[in-house]
Amino acid sequence: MIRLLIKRLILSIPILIVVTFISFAIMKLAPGDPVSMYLDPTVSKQDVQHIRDSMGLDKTIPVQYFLWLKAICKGDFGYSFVSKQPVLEAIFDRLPATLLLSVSSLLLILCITFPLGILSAYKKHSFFDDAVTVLSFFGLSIPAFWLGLMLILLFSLNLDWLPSSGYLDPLLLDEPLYIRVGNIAIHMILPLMTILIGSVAGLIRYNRFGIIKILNQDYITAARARGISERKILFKHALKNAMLPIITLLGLELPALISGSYIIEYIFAWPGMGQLGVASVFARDYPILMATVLFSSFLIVLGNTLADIAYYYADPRISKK
Amino acid sequence: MTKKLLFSILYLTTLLIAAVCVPFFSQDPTLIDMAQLGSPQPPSLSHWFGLDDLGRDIFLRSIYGARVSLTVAFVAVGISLCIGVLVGIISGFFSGLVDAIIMRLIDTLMAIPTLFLILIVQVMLKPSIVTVMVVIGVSSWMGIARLVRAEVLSLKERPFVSACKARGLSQRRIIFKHIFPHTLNPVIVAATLGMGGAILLESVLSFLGLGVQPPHASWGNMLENSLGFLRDAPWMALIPGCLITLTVLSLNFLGDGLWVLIDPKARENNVRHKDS
Repeated sequence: MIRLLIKRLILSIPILIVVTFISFAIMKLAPGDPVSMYLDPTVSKQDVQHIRDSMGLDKTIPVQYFLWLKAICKGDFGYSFVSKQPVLEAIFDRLPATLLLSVSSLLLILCITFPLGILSAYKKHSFFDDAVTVLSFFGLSIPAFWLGLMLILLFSLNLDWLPSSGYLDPLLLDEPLYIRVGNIAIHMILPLMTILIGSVAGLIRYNRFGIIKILNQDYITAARARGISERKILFKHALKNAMLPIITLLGLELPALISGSYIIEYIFAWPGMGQLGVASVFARDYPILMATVLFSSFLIVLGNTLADIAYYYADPRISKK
Repeated sequence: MTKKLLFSILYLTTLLIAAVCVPFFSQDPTLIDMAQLGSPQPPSLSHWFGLDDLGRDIFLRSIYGARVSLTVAFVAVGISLCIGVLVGIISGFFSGLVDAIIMRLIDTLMAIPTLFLILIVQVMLKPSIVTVMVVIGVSSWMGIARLVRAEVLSLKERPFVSACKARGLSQRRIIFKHIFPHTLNPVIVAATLGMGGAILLESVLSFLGLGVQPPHASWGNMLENSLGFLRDAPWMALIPGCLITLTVLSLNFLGDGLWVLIDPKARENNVRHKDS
């Protein structure tokens, strides 16, 4: 177990290094002079040179990269161009909202895909299965941001049932906890729906194929021959094996899920990392941008590692090796 | 399955013909009707999809948008095919260290939220149709490379390749004349599905104002334009979105259908991911 963990961590190091390369390249390629944000007409030429030196801009690019990497390892990501807030602080302010949205969508995805996938596979080629297939094709084809807009149009503008954007109503800040939690939950419904409709689709199909494949295997026939009830076969014998590829797939799905939730956070003004990231793309706030790329890549690597570990636990064939 | 395939082929052909022929029959879609300025008109008999806020015919703009979106999709997928097939063949054929390095690189690229990088690149470059095509193409070849590599790995062990080697054919000739054609079938399927992905990505970029720029019409920037009129003129948002969905849906059906036709067994692994 520990060996696996160490191996995974070593494997993820090159990935993280490449990500830091890319982030650094973005900062270097970005048009404009980073010193200029400190400038106003009263600053003398000498001071400009001084600022430049103190930022390490007089060094060669590789040296700058290592200095930057060192600073990052210490948690110093610099300051936002726009809010002048330390970048790390800005990101950590946004992390809870992002985690709330992504973890709950991940849980809901699991809760929805398994029953639908199993049922779809079990009643292969029935009306229900065909409906699920066509619907999941629709889910794969709808642009998520447009779906979000349409949900806003329907539920917020026309029916006026749900809030179109935001996280917590500022008027409720002093209310007791349960009211605030309820308010956040209401704000979360539309973004969650948007994420779910898009992501559930592919997974249901995958789940369906996985279970169909398993149901055709000899050990299922053997179980049937032994007179074990269909329900037990489905949930005890088939499900366990069908879960394995889903775990890997969830790990693979993470980048798409995280990228996708950027746009969705942006559409619904959900105050998460994604909204911060997209907003700073427009503001050309490069320190925040780099940190967002780094952090989301880190989340993805972490998710993949967790998926591997879960796989290890779920599949005794691997852990015995 | 055949019904879906038939629907997709019909829809895509109609769209393609309309998109190709529209400049011969119509006025300029960027033309602004001063009389209608400021008030979007709902769909009517004279304007099937209505008019937008600048008095432009949405039907016309949708078809011109199809031109842009389809072009972007074709070229972007072309680029990602070129890169993906080449990298995949190299990786699969030469295996060993080269293969290991390439595969790790692909793993890494797949662990990065590409959409976000694309946004950053688009902000730094000047967003235009050309940059959109290039950026989408360059960022979406990894899946194809993996697919081709897997194909080449299994093809390489087949007797006909040994026969080629025994005949003393050059490596280049074996790769391009004998192995490459066999990888085409799955690549065509992947390309069809990739076009759907490219259209989705283009629409996101243009929607954020980082893709195709006005006055050129693309489905994405028509949606961006519709934002201010969501309550008063919902058709401005509904129509381009439905077109995107229908087009991507047809491409997905088509890819799926082709897949089954080419290799009924491959259906088992038939899973795709949505990038945006």
